[in-house]
Amino acid sequence: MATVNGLALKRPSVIPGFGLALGFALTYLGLIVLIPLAAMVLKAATLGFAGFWDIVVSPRTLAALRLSFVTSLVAASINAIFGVIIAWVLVRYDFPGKRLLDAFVDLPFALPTAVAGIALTAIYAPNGWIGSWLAPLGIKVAYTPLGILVALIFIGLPFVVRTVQPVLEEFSREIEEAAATLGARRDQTIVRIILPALVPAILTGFALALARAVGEYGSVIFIAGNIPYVSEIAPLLIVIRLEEFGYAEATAIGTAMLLISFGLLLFIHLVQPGGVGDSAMTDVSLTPVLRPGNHGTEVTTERWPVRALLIGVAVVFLALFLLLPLAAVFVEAFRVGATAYFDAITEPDALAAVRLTLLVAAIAVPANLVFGLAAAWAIAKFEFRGKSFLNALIDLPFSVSPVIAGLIYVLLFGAQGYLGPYLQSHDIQIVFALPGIVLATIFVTVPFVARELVPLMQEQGTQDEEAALSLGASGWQTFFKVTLPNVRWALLYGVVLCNARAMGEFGAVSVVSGHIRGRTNTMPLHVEILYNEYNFAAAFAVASLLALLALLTLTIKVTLEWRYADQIAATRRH
Amino acid sequence: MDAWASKTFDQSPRQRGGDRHEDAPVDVTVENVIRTFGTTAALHGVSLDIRAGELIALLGPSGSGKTTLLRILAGLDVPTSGRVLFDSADALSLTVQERNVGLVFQSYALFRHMTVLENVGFGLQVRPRSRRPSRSEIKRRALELLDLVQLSGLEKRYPTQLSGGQRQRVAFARALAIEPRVLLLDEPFGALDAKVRRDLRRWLREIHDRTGHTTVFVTHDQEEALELADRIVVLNNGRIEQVGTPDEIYDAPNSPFVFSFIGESSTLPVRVKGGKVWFDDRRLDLPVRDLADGQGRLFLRPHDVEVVADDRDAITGVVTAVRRHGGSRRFELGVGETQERIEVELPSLAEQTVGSKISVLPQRWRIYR
Repeated sequence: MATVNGLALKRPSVIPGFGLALGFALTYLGLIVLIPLAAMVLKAATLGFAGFWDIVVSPRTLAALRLSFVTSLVAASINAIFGVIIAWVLVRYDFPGKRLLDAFVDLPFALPTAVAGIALTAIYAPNGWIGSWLAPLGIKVAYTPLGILVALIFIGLPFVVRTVQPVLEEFSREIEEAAATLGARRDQTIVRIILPALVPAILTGFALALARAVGEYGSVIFIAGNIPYVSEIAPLLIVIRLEEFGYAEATAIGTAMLLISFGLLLFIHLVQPGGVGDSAMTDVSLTPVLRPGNHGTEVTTERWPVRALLIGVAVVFLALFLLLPLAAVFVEAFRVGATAYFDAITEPDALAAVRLTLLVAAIAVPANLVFGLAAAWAIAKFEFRGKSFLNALIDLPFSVSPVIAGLIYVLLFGAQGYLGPYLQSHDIQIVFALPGIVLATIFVTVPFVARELVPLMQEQGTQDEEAALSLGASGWQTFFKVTLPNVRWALLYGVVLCNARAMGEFGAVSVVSGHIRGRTNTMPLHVEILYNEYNFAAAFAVASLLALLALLTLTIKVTLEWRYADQIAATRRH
Repeated sequence: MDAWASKTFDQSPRQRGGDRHEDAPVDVTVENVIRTFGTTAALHGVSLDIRAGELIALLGPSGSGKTTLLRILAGLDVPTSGRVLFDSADALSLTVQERNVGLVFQSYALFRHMTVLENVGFGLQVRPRSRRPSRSEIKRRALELLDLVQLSGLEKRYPTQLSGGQRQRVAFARALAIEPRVLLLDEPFGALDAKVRRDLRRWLREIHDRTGHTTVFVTHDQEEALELADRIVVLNNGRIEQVGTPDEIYDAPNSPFVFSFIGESSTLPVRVKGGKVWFDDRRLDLPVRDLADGQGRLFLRPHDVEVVADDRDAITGVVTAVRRHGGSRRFELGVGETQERIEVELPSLAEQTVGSKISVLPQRWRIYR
């Protein structure tokens, strides 16, 4: 350990555990994320460039890629516009129900995508809640690219809101007052002063929404109709190719998606306005003058018609895209009565799915919890080379499609995979069994705990630990008695979000599960099977359990934010 | 008006404000201004006449209402009642945009995404087209102002790339760029370290002398107010305690609050009887005129005392502590039966030490009832 410290540390530290924490974090990331991803790239490389290119430019692949990226760009753009309006309304105005609305913005993070998919379909199908009104007008949403757009708007909605909100909250009223005293009208202040300050946050939110949308699978496949060349998205094509044992095609499409996504993200990163310097506030930090009535004086707010219009737009948008789907789940679940509902959630296959879901979460969440603590300890308490690289690596799974997350494990552990022959000869089953489901779930939830802990622990610094050590505490005592209590609420926060995603994960699990009823079906997969069997009420009944989980997640999340905001972190964008 | 201002800003007169020359300094009149927030009053009927071209300090502790008054002058806040006049015209009917005051914020409130040059030019850039100077003219004026505030060469920088003192001067130049009728500064040096603060104080005084704007600045730093202002307005609990030149405020404070807020002071309970001042059973050798009999408090300053040999008519006490204070020594005395604490300042060579007996008579002092 001394050698590790000596080799990699940029600044020596008295705090112990660097080697252990960094070693564990790197090994974990390597095994779960890097090696499997490398397997895919390796597989793609064996195709040769010509082989790769032939697959990518084949008409059906090209159509799927184009559809995925175009609808994602449009959805992310729509989310950018409405996200700014919603963030503005939530930060600047007071109106009844505002806090509830604020809490609901995170619904797409908490609601499993399969649930969102069938709920949106119930609303926008030609005989659905809104679809039946649109059908006579000749507007078809579900089973068209428009339906894909709706699903992608739903799942990307929180990103821009949550990146813009903190920036707007910190934006000093004095800046706006300064513009006013210099003669700027309100609209000039907004356009020339406030919006430019929001641009980096908007771009970040846009990029996150885009990355999420491109890889999205669960919510889209129900509403898209999945007609080749028309409404078939790239992740679905990967799944189809896998089911046909077309590993080469699946790998090529997956690699192409990754390359285009990274290219887009890089581009967005490069066009971020330069010259602004660091993101620190220009104005020296002074304790804000608490002046009664300071909140929105005449000078720093809009006229009431503008306010009313913006609040109206935000409320209608959120109601349409968030509250309506949630309501649809419960209404559809009880459509044929309470008896059917309880039958659906107590039949053996459903119970098996519940058990499996709980089991998977019970393994994946603690694993990511330990990883998060190790990674945060290494990153927050030590200065070492490659730190920012490690930080970026942790977030990598967020920009990889869940379908690709499943694909890489099939390529590694499947019968045709790199380790397939070895596993078969030792009679070990990973793919289409519990280990594969756990691995895929861990992959997609790797970042959750770590990204809560890293910023908070960086903010808290190392003084508390140094004090404890100087008072004679051992390394582990320091960790358990000082560090852990300092981050306990943030830890819980991360665990709750991690758990929601782990229980609701659809795409990655779908690829590696094999869909064996009663054995390898998690709840979201069970929803899909019931839905595909036209057993809608039962599908929605099981979905309603997942929706309740989402509501519970949101409740805990909001409670933590309200009561322990200062102990969670400076940033609360999720 | 001085040469610089007329050279730069001899543009056509404003549309508003009639035939007055645009940058001519204005008188500011505050008439019985009351500002309440809910049930608490921040200003209880403040009246004040500020003469054109004056440099005025609003001095007071936090919560005294000084910033509220400044914000009302700027148009960022509206009084509950009362009037504010610029010359003889009603200023309250003008919006903040129309009022044309240059306000320098305590936090500077620089626009982070704009260069220094763009910050300074912003006020001209947002004017309606009819009054907006050409692009090159805006640039020329901004550069000229940056020269005035000694920031030439930094015009392409962003605010984050400047030191605190430089940001302060950018904020100042930005406020001057709109040819303000009144210049308002909120704790202009509050966020700077002591050395920079002293330099900028001198610099602000020079700029004011050159440009001649009617200038009001808020401060809680009495030293700053005394050194910089033509006149000081001392505020306390939303009321004006005293208005006067630094000498008047320092030498003739009209209330116990002003006496103890400005400079250092000690206080003793005294009795006035028949034109004489009594402390405990001693008749002090202090001439009192026109003071009716009764209880009062004597206020004195540590450096305005004289040691007297004859202790019968003086304030006598035993030294309880000695501290070095610049070029002199501070002695803390316990005086009288109740061992009231007072501080006196003696030359550093004074031989008295803890336990010594010292008798003093204040040379300047005031008694308040």
